[in-house]
Amino acid sequence: MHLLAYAIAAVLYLAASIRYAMRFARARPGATALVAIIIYAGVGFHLAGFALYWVRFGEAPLVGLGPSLASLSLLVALAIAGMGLFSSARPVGLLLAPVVVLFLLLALVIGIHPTGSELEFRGPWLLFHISLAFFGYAGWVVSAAAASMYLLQFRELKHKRLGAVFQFFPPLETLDKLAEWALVIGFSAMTLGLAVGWAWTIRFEQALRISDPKVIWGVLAWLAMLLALWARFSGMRTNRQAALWNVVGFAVVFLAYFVARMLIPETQFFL
Amino acid sequence: MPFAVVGLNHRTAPVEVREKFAFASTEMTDALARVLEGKGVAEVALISTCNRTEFYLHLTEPEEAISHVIETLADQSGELPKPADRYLYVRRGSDAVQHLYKVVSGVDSMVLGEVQIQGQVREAYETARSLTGQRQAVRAVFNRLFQSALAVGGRVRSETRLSEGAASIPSAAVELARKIFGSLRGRRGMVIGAGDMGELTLECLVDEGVTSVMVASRNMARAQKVAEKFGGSSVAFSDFWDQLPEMDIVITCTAAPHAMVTLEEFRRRMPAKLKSPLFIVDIAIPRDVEPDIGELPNVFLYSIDDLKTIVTANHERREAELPKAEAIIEDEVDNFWKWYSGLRAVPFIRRLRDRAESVRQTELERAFKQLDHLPATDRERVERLTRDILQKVLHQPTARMREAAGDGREHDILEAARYLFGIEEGGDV
Repeated sequence: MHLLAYAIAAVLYLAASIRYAMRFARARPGATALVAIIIYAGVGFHLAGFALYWVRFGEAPLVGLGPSLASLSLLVALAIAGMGLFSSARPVGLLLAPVVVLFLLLALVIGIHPTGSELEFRGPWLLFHISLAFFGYAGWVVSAAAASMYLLQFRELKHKRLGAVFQFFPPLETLDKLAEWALVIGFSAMTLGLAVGWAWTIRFEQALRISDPKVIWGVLAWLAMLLALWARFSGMRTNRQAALWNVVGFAVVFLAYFVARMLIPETQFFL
Repeated sequence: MPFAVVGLNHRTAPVEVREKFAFASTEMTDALARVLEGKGVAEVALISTCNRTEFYLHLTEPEEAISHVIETLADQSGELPKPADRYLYVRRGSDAVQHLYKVVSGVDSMVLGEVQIQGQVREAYETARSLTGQRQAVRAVFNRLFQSALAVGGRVRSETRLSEGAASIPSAAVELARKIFGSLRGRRGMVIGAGDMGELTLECLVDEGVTSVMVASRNMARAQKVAEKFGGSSVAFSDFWDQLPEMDIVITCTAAPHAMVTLEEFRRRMPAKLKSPLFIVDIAIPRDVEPDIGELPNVFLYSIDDLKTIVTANHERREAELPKAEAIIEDEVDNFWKWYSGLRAVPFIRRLRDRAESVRQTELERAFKQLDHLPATDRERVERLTRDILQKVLHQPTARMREAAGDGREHDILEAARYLFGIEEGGDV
């Protein structure tokens, strides 16, 4: 039953992505309320899938690649739904909706069911740790998407090319603020998530396993977010440079994840 | 032909003639009342903007009424280089309806697709509606006509791109500023030079929320006048550099023969890295701002040619949308005309309903005499039952008769109905 709810959500997100793309291709200004409604419907089914999974398996879909992707995509979809309330921010879904579709389809292909991974600490602390980390990653995905759009819109305005990007994308100021807020929220959640994970690993194992690839990757992601924040708030960089740091940092961590998964396939990544 | 529009617009008369025909808002109701006094005018509305003055008429005696309106317009204009009727046009019947729909959609506007006209037509309609009693200017037909016209305007704007994109230099500047800053509320703007186009652009920006307006000009009196108009402050031309780092938006429009804002001076006076964007609109010819400044980080420099390119591209895009807009208008004119033609069946329908109601009342009275024992609540129920049956039985023929009248088939259908129900034309039941 939970799979059906997830599948319907994926179809709705796909419809929203197509709608975004069509409007962008026609160089229409902004996204309509209809696309926001489709996203809300998708989020409704997505939440239903999440709840049904929890009821069926007795745990939140946070452990194993499939469930993790499904939950991470839910957070990104919730962010799009939140932006849907503000017509000026709505077009950011052009980049984010396909990401949600991709994550959710991957999750469905891999299988959304408990993997039986034996993690050292289950229960509420695992829930806190992984949920906060997911909030962090979701915030960063949103921030990187807004920053990418900022760079594109900036380029178009500088070069006086007033085509589809100019028409459809939000104003620079909106994108800048969105990237900033998403990064601040993402970083705060990530910091808390790492702290919870660290504290409880020490409690259970009396030591932090520094050599664990997922720990290294988590810390790398946190450092990259810290650098992006520094670029934004240090006053030494322009808004465009801050956006660039944001996007490059995200790309580096994203690539590091794939490299780590390919080189060390046996490692227990929760993503 | 029961409808007509009489008037002039930007196509038939130059501005110096149009302004003579224009009615101030305080003169509108008197003008409407005067037209209503004429013979054969059932309803009237007046649209008077800087680009058009038009009387819309619902007529019972067309030719006399139209002559009266032409006289009213001629009186308003006073002396003209040519006779008044040389500037005027008269459109009749469905052409008049189509004309109103084109006007409200911005299809007939000087700036194709402009949106202000929708509000101006709404105001004209409200003004005409404000006349009541003996001098009532708007009744059922004009209510329907103007409400449908406003809906057509909305439909054209939502279903086509006729009103998208800036259509003038100042609005192009505003559109760009909004893409950089989002909301312009609280932004600081400066105009250097205070020429007419600069003032117009500043006005548009202030309308969008720009505050802290500053005007720098060699002519201090002019600078003060413009600054006062927008609640801002003036500054000596030589001091504008001191204010520039505080600004978000700068409009330059001096008559200087060379660039006043040079790259060298800009680098010397402005911070090396601008933290927030600076939008410069250079509408002077020759240019006031060296183009290399536009290459600096966070500086968005647009010349008048850049803005013209935007306006031209938008205009071409709007032109390409015309066929779609016209198709919608055609469609809606047909709908209105069907509704209006359907009114021809109304007298017959009224007589049919009156007769049915009279039969119901008579039969009910007779029945209640025999059912004396029925309590009041049951009588009410029976009463309601008979009314509902009547409504349901008559609904279909009524709708079909309206439809037939709308399609121009009312003659045969109404003849058949008269024969079947025994209702004489124009007579009593």
